[in-house]
Amino acid sequence: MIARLLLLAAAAAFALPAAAQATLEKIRKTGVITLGYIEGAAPFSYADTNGEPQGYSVELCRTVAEAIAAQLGRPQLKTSWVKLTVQNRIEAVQKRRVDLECSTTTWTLARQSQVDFSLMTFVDGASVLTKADEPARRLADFGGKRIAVMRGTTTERVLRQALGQNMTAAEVVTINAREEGLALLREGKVDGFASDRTALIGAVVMRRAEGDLFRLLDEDFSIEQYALMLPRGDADFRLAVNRPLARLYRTREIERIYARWLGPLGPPSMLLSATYFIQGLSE
Amino acid sequence: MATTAKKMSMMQLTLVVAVNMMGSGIIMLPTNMAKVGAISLLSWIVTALGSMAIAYGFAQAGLFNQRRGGMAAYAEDAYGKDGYFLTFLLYFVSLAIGNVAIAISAVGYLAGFFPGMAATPIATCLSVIGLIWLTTLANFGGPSVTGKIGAVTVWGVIVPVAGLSLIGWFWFKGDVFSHAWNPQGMPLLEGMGSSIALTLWAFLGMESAAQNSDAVENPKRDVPLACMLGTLGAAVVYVLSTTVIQGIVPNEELAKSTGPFALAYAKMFNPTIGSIIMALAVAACLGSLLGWQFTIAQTAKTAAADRFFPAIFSKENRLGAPIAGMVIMAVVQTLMAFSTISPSLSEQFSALVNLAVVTNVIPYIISLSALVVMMKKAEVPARTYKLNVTVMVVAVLYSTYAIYASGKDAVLGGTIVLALTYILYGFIAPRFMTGATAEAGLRVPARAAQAAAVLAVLVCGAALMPRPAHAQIVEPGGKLTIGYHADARPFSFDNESGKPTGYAIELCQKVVEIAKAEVGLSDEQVSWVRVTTENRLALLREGKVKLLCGEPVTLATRKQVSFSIPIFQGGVGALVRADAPAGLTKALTERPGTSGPLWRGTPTEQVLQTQTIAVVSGTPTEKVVAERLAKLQLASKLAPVKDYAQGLQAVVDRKANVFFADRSILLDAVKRNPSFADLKLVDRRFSVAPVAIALARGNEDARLAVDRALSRIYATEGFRGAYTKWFGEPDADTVTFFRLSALPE
Repeated sequence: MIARLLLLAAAAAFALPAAAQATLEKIRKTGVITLGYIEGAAPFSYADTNGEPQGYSVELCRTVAEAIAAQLGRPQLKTSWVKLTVQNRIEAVQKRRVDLECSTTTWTLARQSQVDFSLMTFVDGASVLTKADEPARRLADFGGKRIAVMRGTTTERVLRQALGQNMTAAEVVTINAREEGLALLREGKVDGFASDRTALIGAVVMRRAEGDLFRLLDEDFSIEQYALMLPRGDADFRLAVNRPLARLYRTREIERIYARWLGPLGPPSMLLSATYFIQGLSE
Repeated sequence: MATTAKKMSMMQLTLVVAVNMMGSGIIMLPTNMAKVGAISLLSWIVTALGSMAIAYGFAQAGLFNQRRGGMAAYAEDAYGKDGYFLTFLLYFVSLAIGNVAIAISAVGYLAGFFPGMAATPIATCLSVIGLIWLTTLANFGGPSVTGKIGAVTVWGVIVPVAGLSLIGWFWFKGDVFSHAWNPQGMPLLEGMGSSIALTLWAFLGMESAAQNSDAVENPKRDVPLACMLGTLGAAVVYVLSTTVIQGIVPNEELAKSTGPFALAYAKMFNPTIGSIIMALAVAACLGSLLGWQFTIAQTAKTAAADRFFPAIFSKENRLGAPIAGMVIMAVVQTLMAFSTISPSLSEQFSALVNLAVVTNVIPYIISLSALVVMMKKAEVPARTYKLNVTVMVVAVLYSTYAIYASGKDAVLGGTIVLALTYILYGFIAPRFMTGATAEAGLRVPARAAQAAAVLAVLVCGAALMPRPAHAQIVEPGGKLTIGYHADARPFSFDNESGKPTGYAIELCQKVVEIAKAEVGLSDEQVSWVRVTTENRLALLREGKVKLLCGEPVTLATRKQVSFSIPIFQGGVGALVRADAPAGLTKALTERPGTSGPLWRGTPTEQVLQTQTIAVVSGTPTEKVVAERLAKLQLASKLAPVKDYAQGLQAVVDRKANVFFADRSILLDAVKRNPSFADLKLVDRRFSVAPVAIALARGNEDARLAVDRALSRIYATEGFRGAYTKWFGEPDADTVTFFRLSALPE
């Protein structure tokens, strides 16, 4: 009977465990390391006019690839770049279509059940952009004020949570686009615009003339830790990736890489400096 | 819809079928489809064709067989009583799952008004459960009002969705759509297959399209045609509305929304309109849910009357409502809500839809395939036979493809249900044995079926049931052995009674508490074992110890073990007297400049005296200090000491100016000993040496469970107190450290 066949087929399909691969072995045998990147996430991960992947995360991955080549004794190791998207990057790592993913993925516990993460490569915080003369200095000072935030983003969710936790009665004004937020702030229709720190800095830096109009709160009301994604269950590969990263942090070479890609955003935030420092693991 | 004495034309029946089919199933679809990209719209083509075939097939079957039981009765014609039971039970389960999915849709739109409802997976789950019970309780008063509500509120979905498919084109932006077309770069076929289960979800219920056969002049011709065309009509509205929405709302926003149609209207007009649409959608879902809760209880009651279900389902109260059955079904739905809890609302919705499709479609396959037997019995003319068989094959092939497209997890869940039905039926079958053998079709002996079922459950059950939402620290029933150093103050040491205590031990105990709650760990399963520097790594590797409570993190050690997120920043610190000259403290905290000569008159020059630096000889700190001293702008001489007590005393007695040692030891000493109250730690960390909990390599689930537990602990109020108890008030760097180390969910 059909049902019985389905039953037996399904049972057979799931009795097979997923075979775990040693990524380093595979790289050594094939002579190729496959790296994933996404487009449109400058300055972390994007494609230049020649279609070459570039960016802060991309350069970190290049450094890791060189180190792995040295570790495996394969100086001619080829690097193959695969374009991914925000929607498919996790699955791509899970399915091992790429060995390492180099973009803007946030390290979360939920994702840790599907993939593994390297040491943190960047820390972004959600903060609030205000007019330069705004007296409020912390989120808790926004009682009775209005804060704009993009609708449906994690920032909106976290902002509401943070306001609730601080018991601050601020009015949350949801908007659809960053431009709208800046316009509302400029016109004084809101007292603050909440978004990711890098996005806010980027938006303001783009408008040199307005650079003095705005200011960012020192406080980050939430943080997001970026890391490189790699397949789960491969401790050797993870160590091979973390070793060169730790060296970059320990020797402070990371500052050079930071300056090249993220310099226009200003010096590393206190959180980011701390991230680099505490991850400078020794051998 | 109520049948009228006057006969309907085929077009009217088509309209009735189309309206009956459209329901709240569509309202969450754009979000899940946006996650794949607009390319998923191609799935509609496949689903529309498949659904039309299924609807037509059922309409035909309904002409041959009008016995009570619908699909199940068709199955009985070919496969006997156990075919009836299997079809019936699976369909019944799919209704229950469907209810949970409708409840999630309602929560998604309600979250537009009350974001807290969907803020976390737990909140979503509880909101869903709340709605399930609300709609169940509302039915306790009997069928009079609740059934009618659904028929009215459903227009709250049909009008906006159909409306959007017509007027939305004025707001349609070609570039928004093309941007959303294929964000993942999928091949065309993969794109077509990506949303099969989701699109089929919108059509489920097509088997009841054939209920109005006595409302038309020529049922044999009109009903199957009306069913097919009605399905097509509904499909057109669905396709248009889900296509136009991808050109109105940018893909990224759409993929994150929990109320996509409301979002579209808000973008087209203003947020108020969006809120109205949201409210209408909520009303539609709740109305639909009200109706389905009653239907499912009625179905169970009927089955109990036929002796397929336990008698409890047929007990009614004074108002005619089968309360006991309703409560049982609400409990089942609650369990389903828990078992599909997912990181986000749309993921939980997707999981439920996949499961609903699998459990709904297997009955389709069984009952449609019975058409062959039904037609043979009815001695149908060859031409009709050929046509129907062709349609049936298309329908069954599509249904099988839909099962495949629903994914592993859903098929696993559906298979378990399937297996359980055999166990259940094994007990019920004897009620129907009359001694006469069945006429046509297969007759599966009840005992063999039971054996197969038990085997299948054992094979699949190990992988699935009960599925906890999160990775576990230890398997249910497993032992949790924690290793610790008995002489590593303040991290871990034995107190006067020989019990392990210390900062790391306290943290590990908190982790165990959390594990106890999640896995149901009992005290007897947890044991604490002393380890030494020599055997600790081996014990971990061999699995004799599951967690090592406090281990310094180095790259070299990572070759042998895995680490949780850190529990302490560590590193070498510098201890000075509270009255040390400012210049000394400044010299110690100043980082070496990256460039530039040292000019006279800078603060460091003010410390003219040679500073005596104490460090315990033979420790790693000695090496660190030797390296650092060269970089510190200080005239200094090294004075090694024998042990920590000597080093501390040297600073107190002014025999040394600075004592370098591991920060944890310095903090612990200063905290414990009143004679050291005049000493203070300089803020700077001179090396990087975090401490974490170590696990055996490859134990990814346990590591995740520990990381999750620690991340939660760091966010609690009590953690600051626990830290202060051992190390004193945390400085700013420490607060930052724990903030960075804690991971979000």
